[in-house]
Order: sequence, then structure tokens, then C-alpha cells
Amino acid sequence: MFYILKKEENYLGLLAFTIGSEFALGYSLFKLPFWSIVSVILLVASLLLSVNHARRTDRFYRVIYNLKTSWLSREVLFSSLSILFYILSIVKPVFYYPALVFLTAGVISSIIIYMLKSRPSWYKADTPVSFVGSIFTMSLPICILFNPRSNNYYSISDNIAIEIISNHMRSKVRTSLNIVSILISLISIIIPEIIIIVEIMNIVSETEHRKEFYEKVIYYGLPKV
Amino acid sequence: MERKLGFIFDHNKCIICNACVDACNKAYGNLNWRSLIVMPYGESKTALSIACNHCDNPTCMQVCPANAIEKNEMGIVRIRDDKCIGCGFCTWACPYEALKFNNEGIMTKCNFCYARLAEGKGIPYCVEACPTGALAFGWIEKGEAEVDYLPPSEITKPRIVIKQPEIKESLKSKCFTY
Repeated sequence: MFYILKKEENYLGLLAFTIGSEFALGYSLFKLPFWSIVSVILLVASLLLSVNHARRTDRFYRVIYNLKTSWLSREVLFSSLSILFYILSIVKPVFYYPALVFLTAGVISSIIIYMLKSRPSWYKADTPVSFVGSIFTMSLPICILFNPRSNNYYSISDNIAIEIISNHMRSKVRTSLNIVSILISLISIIIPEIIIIVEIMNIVSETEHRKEFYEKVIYYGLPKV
Repeated sequence: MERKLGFIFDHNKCIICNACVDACNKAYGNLNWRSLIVMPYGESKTALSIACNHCDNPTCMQVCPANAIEKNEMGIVRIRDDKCIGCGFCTWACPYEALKFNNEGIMTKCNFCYARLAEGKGIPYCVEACPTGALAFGWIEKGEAEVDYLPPSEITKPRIVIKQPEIKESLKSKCFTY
């Protein structure tokens, strides 16, 4: 069997959208300050960046034309609906619930998009673990920052530890950042203010890991001569 | 099993002349829809001529968000260029590197020379150009592509029949990039 190591071209929009939507989901899930406005900004900005991935942006409206079988169509629809409900929730907080449901559906769709058998580096447990993990690793430190008495210190450590295991310590940068992040999050039980360092480290770790996800794609392909 | 159109390739007849690739490129504008992969074989060499396999389970079609890929009653998987948004998601799903962008940012691939077939003007250019009959096409019941140098066929169920060299010896590509 032959594998090709290839780099995904023009992936920054996709990276921005996956990280942005996961951050927005975690941020609003825990109802952190200005959750509706922050979620709208994160989602609109990252969705606009991801549109650039299509070479024919003049036809981008067609992206939702295959809801029957395409998870990309579903992802864009669910995420767009969540933006609508987050905007409505600024006026009527009750729209928080449909916004959260649709954004969750959008993130699940993102995960399934990448679970492709033709790309063994994506078709493994680390894909859902890192996508779901980043929802929590990027939002829980902010939770603690605003509520130091919460018991979220251990949740952060657990999440990051699971990410290290699912990554099989393949990425040294990811593993190092995550180990240091666990240590600092445990120290922050005594000095809560330093949790901001964990937040920064987790954003860097998730972004670096996602960059590697797009830049080192193992793909079944034709034999090369 | 229903018969659909598919390519048939016989390693034993291929003389590695590249006529199939040249004919396809000449007809469709150097998009390299077809590849001729030369592999060492014992002390000699052999080659595989491959393009889109018009799979029974076309994952490219399933993942396309714009509904720009369709499979017709003959089994031909085609891209509707007026519907493609150029997202490239189909290239992620196809393990055979069959899809290629054109200069207008639209995805293209082998269409089995559908226009020629449908109008009775001829057979696919690549098949017509093959001087030895190594590359043929026909109504085939199911693909037979369980060879160790191609991706696992259960991913897309490619409708291609590959006749392996008669002397059983493992085919090995000279190199691969991973």
C-alpha cells in the first residue's frame, strides 16, 4: 500500500473556522462574559475566512446544495443558523438554546468532514478528540479566571491529558505545551491568576496541532515513480 | 450485480508508450486526468494506466457540497462544471488522485468521453489510442482492483478491472513519498 505525505494548500481559512467555531461553542456553553457577541464575532469572522477556501466564491451559495449526503453542506448550514440564533440571543436570551444546539451540530459536522478513509492521518480517534478537546481547553481557563472557586482545574488537566494520549505524543510541540499547561493549571489552584497563561498555551497548542493536521496529511494515492 | 461502464487494464499487454495519457491530454487540454505509472517488475518493468475509476461508491460525489458531481445510468461519474464551487473537498475523498483543477478554479476529471459515447462518435480517446489493447473498456459487473499498489478498494469500490502480470511476482513501486 502506498501513502503520500502532502500539505493541504490554502488551509488557513479552514483552520480559522474549526478553531473559531470550537472556541465559540466552549465560550457560549459556559456563558462567559458577552458570550453572544463574542460568539457572533468569532463565527462570522472565521466563516468569512473559510469562504476563501473555495476557488469560485461567486458560486459559494451552492455550498448548502447537498444536505442529503455532504457534511460540508450540513456544517455550513448548521453554523450559519447558529450565527442567526446567537444574534437573536442578544435581544432574546432564550435563543441561546437553539444557537448552542446548531453550533454543536456544526462542530460535529466538522469532525465527520475530516473522518475520511482516504486520509489515514485524519481517520483516527485523535481527530474527534482534538476537535472536542479544544472546545474545553480554550474555554475552561477563562471560566476559572472569572470563577476561581470552580472545580474546573481538574477538568482542564483531564482534557489536556486525553489530548496527549490520543496524539500518541507524536507532536513534540503539542505534548510539551500540554504537559506544561497541566502543571500550570494545577499550580493555579493556589495562584488563580496564572490560569491566563494556561489559556494562552492552550490556544497556541490547539492552533499548532491543527496546523500540523493540515500540513502533514497522510493520503492514500497512486504509486510515485 | 448490474453491469456498468468501467476500464479494463492488462499489465501483460502494456508497452509503456504513454499513448493513453497523450490522447487524453490532447483531447481535454493537458489536465492529466490519466496517469501512466511505471513500476519495477522483476528485472523488467510494467505500468498501470489509471484515471477516474467511476467508482460504485463515489465518495467524491457524496462529499461534494454543491451537488456538482453526478453518476449516470451508465455508471459514469461526471462533474457539472457550471455547479462546481472549487472547494476541492472531492480531492480529499478520492484516494486515486483523479480530480484536477482547471485554470478557472473548477474541478475536472475523466468523464469517460461521455459526449463521444452518447453521440456514437467513438470510444474513449485513451482506449482508442492504446496500440496493444492493454487499456480497454466495457460493461463490467464489478471492479477487480485488489492489488497491493493501489488504495484499499473497499473505500470507493472502483469499477476497474486490473489484469495482473501472468508470472506471479509482487509489483513494487520504485519509491513512495512517505
